[in-house]
Amino acid sequence: MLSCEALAQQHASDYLDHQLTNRQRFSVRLHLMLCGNCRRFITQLKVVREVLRRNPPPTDETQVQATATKLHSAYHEQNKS
Amino acid sequence: MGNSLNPLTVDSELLPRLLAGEKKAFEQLVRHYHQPMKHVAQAIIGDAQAEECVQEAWISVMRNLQEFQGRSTLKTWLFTIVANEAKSRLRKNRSSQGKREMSINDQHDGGLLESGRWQTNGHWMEAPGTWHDNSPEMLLSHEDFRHCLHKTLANLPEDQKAVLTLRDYQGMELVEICNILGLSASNIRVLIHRARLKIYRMVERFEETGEC
Repeated sequence: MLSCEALAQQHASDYLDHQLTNRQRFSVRLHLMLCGNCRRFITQLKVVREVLRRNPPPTDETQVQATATKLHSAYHEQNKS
Repeated sequence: MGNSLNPLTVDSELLPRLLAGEKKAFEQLVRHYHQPMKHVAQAIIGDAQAEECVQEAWISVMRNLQEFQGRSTLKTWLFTIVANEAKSRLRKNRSSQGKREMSINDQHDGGLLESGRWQTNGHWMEAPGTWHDNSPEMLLSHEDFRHCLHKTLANLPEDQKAVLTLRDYQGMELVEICNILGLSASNIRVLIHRARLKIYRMVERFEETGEC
């Protein structure tokens, strides 16, 4: 049977992202039915994935404005001709 | 903090406004994609030339925006342009300075959970601790947590940062990420998992100590 270590170290993200084969998926599901620690771990890793989905990288607003202004002018310039 | 646009719907909303030359749309585009594009460039060419590479990519985007046919999504197009720019620079660098291979660069950097967590039979030594803040909303509501998260993300190896940005934040499919970064799907899956495990450990520490 799949060990907790193999589940956590190798298969957990693939399980959450639906990247496992049917056989591997079955094996993970069976393990999760029997193991409360791994169920907790998978739930927590899911929270981590969701945090990452909702967390935009920090932006430097000064740079955003400068780059956007440059691009905007270039776009207008280009489409004049 | 960055913007709150949903990365999955931003393309369709933004494109017509960009084509109409609306200034705010250019700001939104740059705010939303500049940093993720930089992560892609960093993963391919390294930090030193990444910003220059993104600026070049933006110029190329502007030059070709009117011809953008929508065969791919806008974001895939943007990431492909920046990746191509970075790969082209990498080729030039290689001929003048030797090789910089993009690969899984942290086989031994502790990307996995510590070996002390496991018994010899592979069972948990101790149960994973319970998290007081057990939802993304609760965690992200703490300013200290957001600070820890940004710090941990900033310290990830560049290839992990790029795949995490493309996969989790941008919601891209593995096959698209493979094409953009030129890595195999299995490598990308390993990078994603190691990066998430690092964030997992950071959350665990934060829950236990309130610190990164």
